[in-house]
Amino acid sequence: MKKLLCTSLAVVFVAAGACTTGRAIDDRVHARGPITFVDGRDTTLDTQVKRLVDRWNNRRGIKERVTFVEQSSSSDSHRASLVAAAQDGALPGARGRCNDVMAVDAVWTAEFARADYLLPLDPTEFDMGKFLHVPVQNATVDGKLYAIPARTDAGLLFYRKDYLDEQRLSPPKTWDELIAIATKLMPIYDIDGYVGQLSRYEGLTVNALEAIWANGGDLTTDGAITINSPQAKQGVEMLARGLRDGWIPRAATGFNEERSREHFQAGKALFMRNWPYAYPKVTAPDSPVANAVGVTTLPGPSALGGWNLAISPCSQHQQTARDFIRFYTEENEQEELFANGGFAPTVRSLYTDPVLRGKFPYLEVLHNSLDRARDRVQTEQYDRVSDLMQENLHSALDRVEGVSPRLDQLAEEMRATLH
Amino acid sequence: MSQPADKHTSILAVDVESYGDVRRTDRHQKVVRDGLYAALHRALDRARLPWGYHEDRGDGLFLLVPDVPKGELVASLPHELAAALREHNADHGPETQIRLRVVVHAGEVGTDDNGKHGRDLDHAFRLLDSQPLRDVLADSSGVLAIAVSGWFFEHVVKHQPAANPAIYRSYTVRQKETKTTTWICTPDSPRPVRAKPSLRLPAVQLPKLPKVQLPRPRWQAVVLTSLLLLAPTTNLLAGAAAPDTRCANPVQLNVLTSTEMAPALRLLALNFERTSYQADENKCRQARVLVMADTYGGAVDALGQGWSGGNDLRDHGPEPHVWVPDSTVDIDHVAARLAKVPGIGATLEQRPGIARSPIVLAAPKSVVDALRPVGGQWVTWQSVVQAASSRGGFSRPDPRSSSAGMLATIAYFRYRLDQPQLTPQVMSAESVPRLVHGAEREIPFAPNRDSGSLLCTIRANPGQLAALVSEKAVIDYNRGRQLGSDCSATARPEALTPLYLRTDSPVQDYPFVVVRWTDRPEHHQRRQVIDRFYEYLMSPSAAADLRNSGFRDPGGHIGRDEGQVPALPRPLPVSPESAFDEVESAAVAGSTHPRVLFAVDVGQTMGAPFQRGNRVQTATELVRRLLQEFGDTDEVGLLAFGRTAEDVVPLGTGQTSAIRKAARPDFPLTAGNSDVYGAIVAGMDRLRADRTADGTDLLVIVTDSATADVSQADMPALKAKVAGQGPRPTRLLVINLLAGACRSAGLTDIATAAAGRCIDLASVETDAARLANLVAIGLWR
Repeated sequence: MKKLLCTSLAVVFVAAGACTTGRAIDDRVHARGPITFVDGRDTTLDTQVKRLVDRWNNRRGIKERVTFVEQSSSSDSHRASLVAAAQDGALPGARGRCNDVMAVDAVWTAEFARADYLLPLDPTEFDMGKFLHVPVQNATVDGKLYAIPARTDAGLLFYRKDYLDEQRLSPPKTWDELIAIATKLMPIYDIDGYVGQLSRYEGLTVNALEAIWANGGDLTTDGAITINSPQAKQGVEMLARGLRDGWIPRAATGFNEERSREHFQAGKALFMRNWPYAYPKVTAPDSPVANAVGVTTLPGPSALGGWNLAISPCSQHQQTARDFIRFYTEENEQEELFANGGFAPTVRSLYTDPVLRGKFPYLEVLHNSLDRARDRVQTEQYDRVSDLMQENLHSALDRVEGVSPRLDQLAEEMRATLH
Repeated sequence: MSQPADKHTSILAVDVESYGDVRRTDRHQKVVRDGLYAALHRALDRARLPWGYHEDRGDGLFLLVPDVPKGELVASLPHELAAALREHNADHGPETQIRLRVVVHAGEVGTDDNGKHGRDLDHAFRLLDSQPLRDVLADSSGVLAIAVSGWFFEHVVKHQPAANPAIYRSYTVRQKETKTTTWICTPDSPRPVRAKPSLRLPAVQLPKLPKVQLPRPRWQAVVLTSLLLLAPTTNLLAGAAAPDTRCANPVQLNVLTSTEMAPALRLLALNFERTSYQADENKCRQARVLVMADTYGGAVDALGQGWSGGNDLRDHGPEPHVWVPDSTVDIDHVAARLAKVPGIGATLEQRPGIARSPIVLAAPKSVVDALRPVGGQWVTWQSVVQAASSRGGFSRPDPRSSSAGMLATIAYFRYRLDQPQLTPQVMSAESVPRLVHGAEREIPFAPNRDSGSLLCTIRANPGQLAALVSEKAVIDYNRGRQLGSDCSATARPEALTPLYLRTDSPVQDYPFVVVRWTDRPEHHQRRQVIDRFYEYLMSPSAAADLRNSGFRDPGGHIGRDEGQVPALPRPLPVSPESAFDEVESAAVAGSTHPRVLFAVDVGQTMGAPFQRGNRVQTATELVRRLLQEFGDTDEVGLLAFGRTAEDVVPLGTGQTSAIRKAARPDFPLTAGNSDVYGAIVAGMDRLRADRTADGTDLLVIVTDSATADVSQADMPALKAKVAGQGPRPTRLLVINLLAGACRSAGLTDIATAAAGRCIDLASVETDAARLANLVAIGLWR
């Protein structure tokens, strides 16, 4: 009846338009009900994200049920799926599926916010003081908060502690040391030297940037494209040489996070660059290398990774959506996700928690790694830049001699693309 | 007619941006032209330059200014001109705003009856019309972009500090097959151009002239000029005069394609994004295209259930808006799946394919020589199959992994089954499992391999001889390129020759399919992007890229480097009514490893006569005949049973000749009755004993059931026993030599419980062929 009245009033006051839209939005803001939560493929040990959702559902019951929809583990596909859904959801007459709560890569958060794919949030509702500073900054766009940091990420160097100890070697601090150790130990233990993520996707951008940073280069310098600087070339050439000289296996050019983790976990690699989520998996009791793994910081700065939770404008039950985000970022849920799933927490206090530190000595390494981590998003059209990088770098890795002209071409393409 | 003494002069050519825009009425155009002349006069005056000779060109004009130091034209004039234009713009509305492209050059200009002419004048107009100059102005927040010729830059600008050479950037202008350099600057909009402010505003259709429509303060000319002079080193003006550019969010377009097409399509998609971006006059990104690769089976499964499977988003990526499969067969297959489940909300609109690639036999020289192809290139299914059965080492891609695998399988099975189309009726015939198994033995499919990855294994194992793959994969192989996603480029061993099937050749046609999801409204901008993307993929430049990637273009033409290749064979017609799922499962089942245990009744009654001989002679002859279907890699065994069952030849590989020897016509009988129920249990136990063995199991019992008493048997227990399938199925075929005993002895019931049959044998001659089919059905269907 209220609705009917509202509609008829709206007909009368078409120009004002305040009744229908204002009320409808209000209703949704404070409404509770079932929601959909969209995240990337749950690759954690024993599906920890799914368990978190189960805990919520057990607590809240059917009326505020969260349906967990996994997206592709390729973040490019994940992004494309969210964007297409947001664009369809914004069409007049759209109904049906809505990605109420979305896990959004820190890399896209600003872009999504500016494109109106995310609802602005009220910081006072989320106890923002408890979070690490940088992820909050990342989720704040043009002075407004659009997302809540759910997990942060920095690359780690996993290594075969058993072999290094046997050879009385300490873990490498530089790429030169890493290459020397890999070259020396490969024939002794009949093992691959180093694996990272060199398949043609976002992971390649991350791995290449880290190699470039380690060699003193960067994607941009003072706003200018410097991807073809001598230092940047050295960085990519280092990876190409690794493939040529064999301390990186050729197969690694098809590896994403999971493939490299499987390779390392099967005992086939001495070193692996990966995110913290791999730690519980490679050290799980049934892992062939469970007691043989060491973790240290990367030889150079890591790319800062991370995922934020945000709410879609199409959400009909925004109160539940906000509650769920709060639940996900509660200190004990964050601790659970870290301890079992390996996700680096966004809640600051956990890094200094003595109990947690005692249980997970690598928490300190992780904290250090986060401290040194660098933001890879230096341009507004980062997705475009990353696309170009992936396209050019993947073929550049085939030949060391090809790296320099490829990067020159890449720089030219970037300049032509970015305005 | 040219006069003998052409005169050296400075050339200044100007053109008003968007002069002919439909929103400018005649009156607006007059205001613009008057404003242009006034601004030019004012600027020249202030720069103390003479007006010189001018000619009107409608949307612009050119000036010839002889006898002045050339440097003056690029020193203060640009700033004066910018200032004068801003003054005009501050007083006028959006339709009468002026932004100018300016070219400065110098050279010989002649005069004839029709006016001024000369190569340098032409050059100036080419630069004025060039894309880089248009682009720079379009990207600029200022009111003018100036291009100077390469000559003018080298000889004048470079040596004129007042012209500030550092603000110029060089561009290449391509026109009519010539390439020249031009130097362009935007004197009132400093470089590097600031990234556009991204305003959070709703997506809007852009008006064409929004660039300078913001009300501007009317500044005194003197102030403005001093600011302009500062401009190259500060951001002040850019900040003050930021254009009101709002780009709508680029449309997300998700494209599903095959593992074979994905790398080429990714490059094409990037080029499409780039060209549509460059063509957009507001320099907004139109689209962002994601190209995702999936296997044949993956795409068919997900699309065939409307992308509604619980984990389709996770396992197959986002719902596609466009699908570019390798072949029309893929679409028919999906359509058949969708038709089975009404109410699934996806419709497919097929458009003609963007490329072609025939399925060929890729063979090394030794095989080519043996095949003796007609004209060095043409073979037939007959010659391929003959070569495969005599030499071995032939293979084809997995029908679940790629269209090449599905197409090759359909064409090959058609030949082996001798049927024009593989309809559901054809595929359900009793002979199919036996024929398909024979086919899989001679040219097996390589599990999980598409054309590229199959050739990759060949590159790694030279023992593999020849493969039915796409021509595109052979081209990649011979060029030493990456094959599939996991097989990186490397030095190639011996080149493979593509041999073409003269008739019944499968051809991949890469159709473009628009996928519509009926549960949401149509996104009109996306619809337009899809149309443009298709248009782009069908353009000559995309065709050239596809040829470079080893495909043929829609006209059947191949890249120039590929040498002499035959014209595209006439494609094998594949009916949309084909039984795609059945073909796939027949191929998979037919390639499984068989384990067969024959159990022959040797009880007293088997000595009774049966047609020309006795029952045991008939039974052993049947075993010998059925044995012909198996080779030495298959596991076979022989069991004899009377009261108890005894192994004659234990189950194992390489046992066919031992069984042939043992199953002789005068097989000794045992005294007393035989226990057929006990034999079934014993046979099943033997087959199931090895839990690690893979393949399908079949127990073939030959009996007269003369002494079988169904009332004495625990039928429920027996049925449960045979039906209790482990990880692999164990089937049962009972051949009965006493008419009617299948039913009376309860053997039909037991066989049915094990998904098998009981057959009352009429005679060996009439039934042997059918029994061979039934054995094959037991194993491979």
